[in-house]
Amino acid sequence: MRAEERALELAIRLGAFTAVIVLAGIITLVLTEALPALRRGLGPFLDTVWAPTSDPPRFGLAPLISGSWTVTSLALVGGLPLGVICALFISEVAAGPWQEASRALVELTAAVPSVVWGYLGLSLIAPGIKDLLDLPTGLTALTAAVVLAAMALPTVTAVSIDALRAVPADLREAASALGATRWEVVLTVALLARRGLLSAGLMGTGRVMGETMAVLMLTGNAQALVPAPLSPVRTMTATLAAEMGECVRMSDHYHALFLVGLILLAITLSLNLLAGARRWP
Amino acid sequence: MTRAVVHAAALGLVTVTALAILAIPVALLAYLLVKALPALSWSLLISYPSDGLRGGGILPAIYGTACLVGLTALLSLPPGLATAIYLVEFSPEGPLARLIRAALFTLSGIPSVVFGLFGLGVFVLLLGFGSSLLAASLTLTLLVLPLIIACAEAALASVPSEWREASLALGCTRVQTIRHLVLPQAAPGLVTGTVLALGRAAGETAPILFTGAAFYLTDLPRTVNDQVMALSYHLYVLSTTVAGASEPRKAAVALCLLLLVLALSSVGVVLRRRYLGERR
Amino acid sequence: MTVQVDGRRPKIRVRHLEVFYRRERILGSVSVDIYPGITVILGPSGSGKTTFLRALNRMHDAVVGMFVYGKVFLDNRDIYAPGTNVPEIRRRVGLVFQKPNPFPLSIYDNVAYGPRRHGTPRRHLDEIVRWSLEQAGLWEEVKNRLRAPAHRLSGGQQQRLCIARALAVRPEVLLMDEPTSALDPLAAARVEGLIARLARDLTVVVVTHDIEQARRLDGRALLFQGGRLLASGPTRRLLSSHRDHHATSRHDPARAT
Repeated sequence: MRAEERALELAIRLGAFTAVIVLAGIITLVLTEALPALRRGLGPFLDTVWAPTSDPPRFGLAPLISGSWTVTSLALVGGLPLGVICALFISEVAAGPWQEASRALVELTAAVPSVVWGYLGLSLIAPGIKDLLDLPTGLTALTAAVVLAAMALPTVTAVSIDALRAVPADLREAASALGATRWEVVLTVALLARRGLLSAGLMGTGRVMGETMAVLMLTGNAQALVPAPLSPVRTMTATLAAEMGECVRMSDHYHALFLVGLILLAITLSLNLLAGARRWP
Repeated sequence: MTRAVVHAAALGLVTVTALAILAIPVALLAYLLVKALPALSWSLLISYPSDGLRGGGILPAIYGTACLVGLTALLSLPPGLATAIYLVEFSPEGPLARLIRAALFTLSGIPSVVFGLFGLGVFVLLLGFGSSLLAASLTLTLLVLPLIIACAEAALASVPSEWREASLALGCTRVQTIRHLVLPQAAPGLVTGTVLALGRAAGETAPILFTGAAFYLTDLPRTVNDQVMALSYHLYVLSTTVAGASEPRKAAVALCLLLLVLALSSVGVVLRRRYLGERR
Repeated sequence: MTVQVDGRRPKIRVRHLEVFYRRERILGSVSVDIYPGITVILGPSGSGKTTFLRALNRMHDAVVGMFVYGKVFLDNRDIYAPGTNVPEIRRRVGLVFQKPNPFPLSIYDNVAYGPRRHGTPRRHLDEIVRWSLEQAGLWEEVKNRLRAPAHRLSGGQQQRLCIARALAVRPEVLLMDEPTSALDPLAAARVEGLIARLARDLTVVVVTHDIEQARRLDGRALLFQGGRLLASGPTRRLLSSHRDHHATSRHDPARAT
């Protein structure tokens, strides 16, 4: 009996460290697989073209990073304000069943798989953008950004709602009592929750930056060093998804892809740490 | 007076915008339904694909997703439960608990494609599982771990501490108390967390891309070492790679996947309201 | 196994007991003997009564930041000695809480919970449950609905169920933390009578706010104030010599008189 207890307790203590071990494992693996890529120095990665299968292969990272930033920033221009507006509506305006229903809707929207978003983008947004703007292809940074904005929305909304709820209720009453209109009360609350809203933005950015399938399906995957919103781009995540399956194990290409993964990991982790630090000051 | 009008208008604008945004998912679901209608039939669900994935059914993809989801549930529950028990029952505020919480928060922010890299590097290559159901499920397990732990933690924490104290005061050990009192009481919440995690796992594509998803299988997987087709990967393949796949067919696959994920998630969301005492 | 009640030898000897929460001392150095029969612990709220009580079966172990120093001898064995089997101590020294806290199980399963964990054979359970409920004066009221959920019972019945649950593991000492303060006067009176009856076979330590209750329960008393043991002795003598203290002690609305 005592021995069984001890064994169970030990199992729980060990099992509890799964997350720590996995996190350490992910960082270690990505680092060790990425470092061999750097043995010939940074030189090859400062190239302006990513063409790992050409002869000689070229591993310029700039187009991938710039592609990720283009799509992400475009998506955030739409997604952030709309997400905050949704949160303001749900937390400050809607009441009763409306509030319940909209919250449930946001949660369910968050559950829509990214490959379904990708399909919807291909079938709805891409043709729309192609025809509307008279482009040669509908697969552009903008197409992906529109879909990503929709995808980022639930995250931004959910975290923003938490931030708005952290504002004490009596402040709302106090503002009303001072003769503020309802709109002024909403603005005041938003202003008081600005730190939380910022962290919602940071977390949304992390989500968008790490998004893979929708981007892979919608950006057209043609690289451009100075991408324009209306031309195809290639992001870090899409490159990983598209090439990791086919590349030769332990080749230069393989290690270069892990280097891309490392950069992606570093960016998303710092965004999250920043968001986390803001969430718990 | 004008101030009141302007402010009312601003408030109205927020409401209209929010409602319009919230209507989008509903509209998209309706769009998918209408578009998929011509391709929907029982035979789609229960027969094998034919004609280079352009015809026939999607049974292997549905079966594969079910396998992935089931195995992920099986694999993620033990470490998820252990972590939650440690965090709630053993040491809620210790330095190790803080380390674990920080790791979980960090993990939840890592892009799913990076989990795919890890799965490829560790499960497929290092441990030699190859591209397989097992490697893919393990990868998905890591991905859903933060979610499943968060739910399990809430479930355990919702069991009042007076009951724990009473059990300890009867001379029961901590492990007995957890096993015979806390876990049975937390069971509905634990199921909720698992269901939510499964909803997440069912829809993921990037993590299984290079760890176990198959393009086209003529047979169902027999062991965990086989590759599997999956609805999510199948939708990707149909949308991008298979030339001449009909639009209704793609929409039908998307609809199947979406309905599966939404069913799991909405069950999870409803249960969560009920059992995890979610604050309002 | 029958419990021997020897009125002259102390059941519990407390020596230099101190309890700290984080860095604050919440219970001063307490040295006192507790004899079989009834011991009442009196004192204003925040005086350390409950802290003292919970130190007697190591309930503070479960609380992060609580530190206990000193010795508590249960039949001449220090329960704080290294290597002590803490669950066994808690089995021998039961605890009944202020607020009735039955498990969300049936009446039967509540009482059987402890014996089951301690490996009592299934065939003995019915008998133990019946005996415990009889001891707690609850048997007649619940014998026809043992499978009903415990939370359907009234507050007073729930508290007696909790006492039955504690008795089912055959403790030698029963600690009770204001067991009647959450009950209405009638239910409180029943539980009080029950306590007096239990004290014939067990060592019972009862924390109470209520001086009248202490007087009725008789036995010995410990008087706490400001985290220190102020006095101890036969209840009646103690109460008459410390009348002034009680006249000035804070009024407590939870008091059931």
